[in-house]
Amino acid sequence: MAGVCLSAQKVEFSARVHAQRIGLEDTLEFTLTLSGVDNPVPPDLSDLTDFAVQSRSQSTEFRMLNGRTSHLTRFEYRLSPRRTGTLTVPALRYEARGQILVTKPIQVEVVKGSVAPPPGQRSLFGEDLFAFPRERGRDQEPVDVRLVTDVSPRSVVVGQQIMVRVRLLTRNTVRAVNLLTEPSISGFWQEWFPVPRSSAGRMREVDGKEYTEYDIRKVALFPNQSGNLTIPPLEFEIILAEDGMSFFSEPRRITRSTAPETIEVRPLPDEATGLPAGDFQFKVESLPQSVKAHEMVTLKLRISGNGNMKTLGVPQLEAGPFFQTFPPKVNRVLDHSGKWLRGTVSAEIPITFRRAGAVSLPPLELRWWDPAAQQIRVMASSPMTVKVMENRAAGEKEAVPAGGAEAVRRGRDIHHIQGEEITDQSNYWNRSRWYTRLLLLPFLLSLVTVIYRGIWEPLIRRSRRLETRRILSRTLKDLLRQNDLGCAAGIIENYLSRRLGMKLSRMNAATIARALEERGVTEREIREFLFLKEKIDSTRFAPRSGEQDDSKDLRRLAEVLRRIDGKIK
Amino acid sequence: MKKTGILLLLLMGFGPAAWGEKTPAFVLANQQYEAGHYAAALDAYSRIAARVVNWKLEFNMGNCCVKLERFVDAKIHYLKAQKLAPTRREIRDNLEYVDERLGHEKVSRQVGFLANLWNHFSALVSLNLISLLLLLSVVLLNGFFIALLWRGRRKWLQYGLGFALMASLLFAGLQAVYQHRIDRRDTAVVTRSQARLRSGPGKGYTVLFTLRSGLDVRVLEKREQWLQVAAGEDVAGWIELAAVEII
Repeated sequence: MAGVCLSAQKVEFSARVHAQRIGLEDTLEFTLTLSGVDNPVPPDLSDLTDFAVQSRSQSTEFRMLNGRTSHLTRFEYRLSPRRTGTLTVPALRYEARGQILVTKPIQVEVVKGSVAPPPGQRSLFGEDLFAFPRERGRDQEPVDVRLVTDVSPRSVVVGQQIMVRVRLLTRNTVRAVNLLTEPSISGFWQEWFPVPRSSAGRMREVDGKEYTEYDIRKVALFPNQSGNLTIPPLEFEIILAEDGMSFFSEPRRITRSTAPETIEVRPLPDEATGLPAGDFQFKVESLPQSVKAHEMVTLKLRISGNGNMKTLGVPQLEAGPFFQTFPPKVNRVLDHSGKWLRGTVSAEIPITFRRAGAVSLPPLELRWWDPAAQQIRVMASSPMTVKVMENRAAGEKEAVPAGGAEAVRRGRDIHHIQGEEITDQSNYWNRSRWYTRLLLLPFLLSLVTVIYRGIWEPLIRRSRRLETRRILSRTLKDLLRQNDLGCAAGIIENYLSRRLGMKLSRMNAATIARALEERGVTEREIREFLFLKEKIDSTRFAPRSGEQDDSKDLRRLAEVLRRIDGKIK
Repeated sequence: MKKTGILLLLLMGFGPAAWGEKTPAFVLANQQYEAGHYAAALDAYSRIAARVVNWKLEFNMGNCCVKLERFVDAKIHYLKAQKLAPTRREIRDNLEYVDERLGHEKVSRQVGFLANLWNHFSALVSLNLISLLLLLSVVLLNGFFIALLWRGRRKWLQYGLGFALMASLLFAGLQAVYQHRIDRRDTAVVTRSQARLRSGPGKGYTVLFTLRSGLDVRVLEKREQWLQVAAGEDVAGWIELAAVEII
């Protein structure tokens, strides 16, 4: 009754139960098997709502077969059903090595009472009839298997690396080794080494006997508190292979435990509190000697050593008045190949410079406690001075739209806009003052025109005095605008018509003189006016020579008109 | 007439001179994005956005937020970009992506035929162009009117006046619609996780629903510190102003 999952490469995750039908008072044995993953975390059972978890255990199987090793972890649970009916052990998800593994759901029928046989009742087939007769009565060979733990060093400071190695010494043939206890040691930050893929045994003599020795486990521990800390015993199940075993026979399983180990952890000196412990190297790459303002540059630094690289903090660069820093990109890599755990932390700190000029970056410093030398060590980079150039990119060339902005598809991810020019979409003309004024101006002109034509002109026409002044001013303006006397004839006739009420057909020297005389104009002025009018009339249709300048006569005429107008009652 | 023409040309020349922000800063921000420094890129885009309003800025800021896994902020930026450029397909695609990442149900962001037509029209004909046409038609209108006053009734002046009047009304109406669409703030995004939708504007009212962060809602009414919103066709209620960001 198994629900086998999707698997990828060598990673597999499967689920099975021991029975498809149980009673409400029974327990269901539920096993999740995970292979191909080192140091797996227990799966999440929060979706398991139809059952309650009574107990759980974990075993790790480490197989060595024909020089090859494989890693298998079993999570075993005892579940009690919550109700009767057809209950479901749902599909469980597990994420490992970048893959999502899912088991298939399993249905279990739960009935009232119990369906398990009462204790003491043997099955009808009490003996294994399929076992070879030879095995049934066979004597088992003596077992000589022991575990040895190497811990180094045994006296450390907080944060200093301790290497724990578990060796298996055996005089029997071992098929597989499983870790039964939870690989979690309290009081320590731990980094378990990967299980060796091929573990060749070494011959070793102990107490006068020849043993085959295997390295079965290795873990780097970093104590996070001071005091006498204990590494608890680690219990292993060892599966022995025996001569004469058949395909159907059960292998022999024994358990062995390591002895508890006590480590003395001293606190760091007061001046070193909070510092990492170990041996480190610190490098900072130089920045380019000159950069442009607002251009992004990256300050790269690298720390390598044997301390706890997973928790090691990266030296911070505080932003200054002339430059700005951003959260660094940090990468941590561990190296399990050596005798000790080593690692490298790489960080890239983005920096932009706010203005042109010479800008100095303060040195970056790494401080740590060296347990061997019993002192604080400091490594610092040199202060860096960068020449920041002005960013004249705007003035060097016209910003040319790059064929319109490109929307770039980032794989199956999201679009991104790449382009060179953007315009301010909030630059709305209708919200600016100049637009409002320009819009109102024509209305204002119309209003002025309406007032002028509708109010002012009728007002003037009703007022005789204003009307006569207007007639005179218009006439004088028109006269002075003219270049020759002939053009003034019509203007004078218009004036006489409007001012004296004379009809054009009755306009001649006599009638004009009489009309002016009646209105109080002196004889001399009438004569002068008529003289000028005659001159105008004679030149009206006469050919003109380009050299004539009538402006003097026109001004004289204007002067005469002004005097006459003043006299007309 | 000559002088009017020169003035118009100057106006048109003045317009483009105010356009086209020369944006090396935008290019630099893009470079930071390309280099994977998303926080720095977001900061750079934000600094440009303090001076310039453009859909590309909001869009790229949304992208930075996606990369930094701040999906609610990303959605807010994308919706702002969509308001500025409603016809851009990229914005719609990225919004769908963010909805997916937020775990929301897929919401169709397709608009109706008329709305789509309007969006394309407004993308083609900018508000500034409408304003310019309005200005011209108002000038024409008043010009014909003044000419009528000075020169008396002439048929061509009357027809010209009628045409200019209609044009002025049309462009004034278009400008009003454009402005209304720009100014309206009828979309909001829930920023608080498990925000409560209540039956009335106050904490004493019944909680109707709980809204997940990142959900976009339609704003119906505002009353003091409460907003009446509609989420989908059937869900409407009151939510605290502090729990949403209005687009």
